[in-house]
Amino acid sequence: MTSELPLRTMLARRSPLHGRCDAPVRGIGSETTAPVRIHERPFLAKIDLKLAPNDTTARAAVAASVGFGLPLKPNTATEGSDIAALWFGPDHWLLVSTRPERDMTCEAALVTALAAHHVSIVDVSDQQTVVVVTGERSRYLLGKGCAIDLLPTAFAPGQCVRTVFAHVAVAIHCLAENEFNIYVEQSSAAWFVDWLYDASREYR
Amino acid sequence: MLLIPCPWCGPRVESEFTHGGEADVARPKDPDAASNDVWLDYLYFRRNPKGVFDERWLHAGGCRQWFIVSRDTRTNQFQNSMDADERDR
Repeated sequence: MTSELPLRTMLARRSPLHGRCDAPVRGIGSETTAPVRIHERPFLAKIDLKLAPNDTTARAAVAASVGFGLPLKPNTATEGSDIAALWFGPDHWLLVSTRPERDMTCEAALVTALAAHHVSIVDVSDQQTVVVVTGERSRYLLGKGCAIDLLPTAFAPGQCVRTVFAHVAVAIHCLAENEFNIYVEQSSAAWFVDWLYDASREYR
Repeated sequence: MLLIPCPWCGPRVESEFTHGGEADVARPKDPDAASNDVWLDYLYFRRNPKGVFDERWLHAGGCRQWFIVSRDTRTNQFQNSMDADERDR
């Protein structure tokens, strides 16, 4: 019998934006001083979580598994040591591992803890990728694509929004004054970053 | 472009929303007993007032929730945005 190679030996894993966000390719200058910098944070583990917001025992079970309570205030996010929860709707959250490699240690715990509850737990790690926009002009760039109030007073670190950005459905999570994680579906990701690069040409 | 008040997300642009037509259109309570005219009225006929009108909207590009809001059809002024589920209770 021929030996079977593990799948990963045969197929190298490639992120949706492989080779598309490299600075030399785009010629956007210094990585650390450019007014707008665009990167990908690939392969982050993500869980789509739906549960009734008035089910306090389910919420408590989630809090015990992930280490903090789900954000209940619309358009806010909560970050733990290695996981973040984004408010997507009154009964809908996205849990994201903040570790670089796919690693969602709480998923099995969540499934066990919520087995008796009316909830939905779906691994959506490969559905979306994360585009990171940083730099002093990042709010100006993002303002070109969506109609969200991006003034630092209106969209501060810890807030997130789901919106339509340049015709693409995205979620934007403000991490710091000039740092944003943008969740975009894999199939739209290439077009989306091309749009971002085109719109950021004036800031180079 | 209209700014539509989502009960959760606050004012957002019209392009994030899908219009759901008149609110509070009640389905016949006893479907078997309802006459053709009742069904016709339920399925196809809607008010089209000049003035304040309660209508349903879906925040499709945001929190994906249905809600009900009053819009003045003369001025497009919105008021009293509320969760559609709350209204049904």
